[in-house]
Amino acid sequence: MNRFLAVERALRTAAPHELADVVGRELGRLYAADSVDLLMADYGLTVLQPVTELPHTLPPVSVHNTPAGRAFGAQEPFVEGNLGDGSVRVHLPISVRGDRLGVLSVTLPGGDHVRECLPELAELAEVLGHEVLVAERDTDLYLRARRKDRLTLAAEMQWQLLPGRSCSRSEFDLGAQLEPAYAIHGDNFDWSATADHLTLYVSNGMGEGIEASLLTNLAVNALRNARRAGIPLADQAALADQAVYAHYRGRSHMSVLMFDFELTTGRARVVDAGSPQTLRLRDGVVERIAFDAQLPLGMFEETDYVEQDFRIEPGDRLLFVSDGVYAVASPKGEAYGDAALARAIQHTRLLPAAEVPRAVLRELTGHRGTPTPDDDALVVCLDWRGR
Amino acid sequence: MNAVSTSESLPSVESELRSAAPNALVETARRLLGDRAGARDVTLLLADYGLRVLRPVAPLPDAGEPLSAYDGPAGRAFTVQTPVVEPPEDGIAGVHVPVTVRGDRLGVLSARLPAAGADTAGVRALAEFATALGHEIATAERDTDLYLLARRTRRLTLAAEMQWQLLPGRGCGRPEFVIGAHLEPAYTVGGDNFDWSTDGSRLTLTVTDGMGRGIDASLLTSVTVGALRNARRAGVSLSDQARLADQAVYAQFGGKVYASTLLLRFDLATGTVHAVDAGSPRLYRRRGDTVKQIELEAQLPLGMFEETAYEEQIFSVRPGDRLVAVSTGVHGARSPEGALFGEDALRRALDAAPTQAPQEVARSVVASLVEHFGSTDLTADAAVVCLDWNGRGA
Repeated sequence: MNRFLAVERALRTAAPHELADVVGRELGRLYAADSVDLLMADYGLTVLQPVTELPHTLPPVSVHNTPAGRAFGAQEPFVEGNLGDGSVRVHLPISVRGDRLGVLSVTLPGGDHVRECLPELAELAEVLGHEVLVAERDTDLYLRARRKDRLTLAAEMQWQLLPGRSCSRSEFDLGAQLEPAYAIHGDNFDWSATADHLTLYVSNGMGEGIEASLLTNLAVNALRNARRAGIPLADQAALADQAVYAHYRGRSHMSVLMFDFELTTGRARVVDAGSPQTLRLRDGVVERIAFDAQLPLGMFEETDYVEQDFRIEPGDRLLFVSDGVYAVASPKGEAYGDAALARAIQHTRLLPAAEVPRAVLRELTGHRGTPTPDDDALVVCLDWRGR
Repeated sequence: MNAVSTSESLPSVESELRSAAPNALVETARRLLGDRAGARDVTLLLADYGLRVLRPVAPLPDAGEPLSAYDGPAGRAFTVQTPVVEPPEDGIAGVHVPVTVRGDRLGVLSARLPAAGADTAGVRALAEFATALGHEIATAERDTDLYLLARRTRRLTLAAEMQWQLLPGRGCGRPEFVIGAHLEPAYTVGGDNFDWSTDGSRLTLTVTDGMGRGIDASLLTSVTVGALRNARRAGVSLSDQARLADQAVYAQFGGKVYASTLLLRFDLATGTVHAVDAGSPRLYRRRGDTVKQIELEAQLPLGMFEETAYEEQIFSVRPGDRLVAVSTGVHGARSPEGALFGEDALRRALDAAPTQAPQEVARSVVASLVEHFGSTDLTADAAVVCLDWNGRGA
């Protein structure tokens, strides 16, 4: 068995909490590696935190202006040159189908050895990512490493409802971010793909705290339950509307923007049940796309929903933003919010989809000097390549 | 078949699975096993929510007939968790291997192999491939509904949809312990839940019995389990986990509804168990031939009153012990004639097959409950968690 397969098998058979130890031991044994650290990106995507058994916590590493942060941002291995004794420090991104989880940092003897084993180590970092996700079913260790503060209960419930933070396939890249990351309550995104379709929901929950997260929990599960029954988008909306109304009797409702994209053609069906907004960047021009506004889910009894047609072209970038983003961009009014958002989209146009949401949110809060917004702010970015 | 695992010139089968689209794992497995081992009719079967049938994963619904999860070669591979090789016909043998992720039994991988390749080494390689496939399914489920769809023989109620997504899995196996857990009625469950988390030194296990029915019950359980996890991940003691969850549930529901939870924290090295019994789930222990209830001091359910303080009790488990925790839906269940299912029936179910794995025990306790009622429509949710303790040895 070659050394790559040996490490891969060791990771698959390790106890769920042991991945960091096992990768350290195996890379030491088979690749002459030293000081192997597994770092996980925090919920706010500001720092990379080492996975260690508490209380032996190592200091977190910033995602900006650090070697590990560079590997994370560029999603490429970054080799930190001569450390003095001829060895080098290699930082390898850990991601799973486009979802950026963290970085594996490894010290290696320099020279030919690094060049020779870098491709294998990069792939082993990917193996590790997959195994971290599998292990998370049975241990809190990696979730704990991801938090630099305690999450509110509402945020705990919201994050566990999300599919991941980004997702890549040959046809598309998706990226999303929620702020304030440690205290979100109502906004949500969800996706699911088959061989030929991508279903995407972007929702804007109503209310605050646990109340908001329970509403979102109910509505998103109702949408998924209907989607998994294999029915059309409009019927998914109708069933979720009924489920929310049956429980809240119109007191609370959820706004959601729903898409069903055909991967081969870029044709999409859309139901716009409320407020999340869509902006498109095509050929350098940012444009707001308006859909026929229908009633939010659960506002009235037995609302009928209608699907409309939409088309996405290869090269298009779509951004979906919740109400909270406008509140951040423009405390004074909508018009300014649009302009600020369009500027932020232009400024971030060279970034990959996974990085755009956070960069847009940072730019909006940055130049307004606004502190943490009261409302949740959600940005989802979809880059379309098609087939 | 050895080609599957040892060829060094080709990318490993694992890397091909890893880079496949999340919905394309079965096609990829079919191609890899076909090219490298001459396998035909490669089928991934996943166990349904009720653990009654194994259903083929297919892009279209009802694209294949479900098989029994108990009988037949595939059912046997699932139940006994060992590869099953059918006698070859015309030089081709049917091989069925379990697809299991650290004790969570997802299903079975079936294939027809040239008889020469269905030898011990070939079957072992296929079993390893199936484990790798299981890990990739667990990862791919974030991005596609395909595998969840194969698991349902009918639609789940919304409450059950919410409950299942809250669960960690249906089993968990480690050198120190093996957990098997089951919920019924699987497609309409409302408030019952189990949850676990381990690290290098401890296992935390909870069984929750949410009050009420349907969506109300599942929202209550969502808050309770979310609060227990939030506290556990903050690293506080077991009694503080109970206290914080109690406050969260009370703050949300004002005492109108509450959740009964049994919280257990096992020290993996010593078998010392800290327990908080906040309500009704009961705990039984089989040690040697003796089954007895572990009597814990009953404390108030979570969220019943404001600011309840909880106390931890201590007991210990020994290697060879089997613990079974059951919700009210099990220990309080009555037949149509009014007879309590209770302890005797539970004891009979535990005695019936001492050598069964915990995953099978959980399933068979619920099966005997269903038999007791003569129908699969139970009047209350039933959660069963079975834990076999191995410890770390001397």
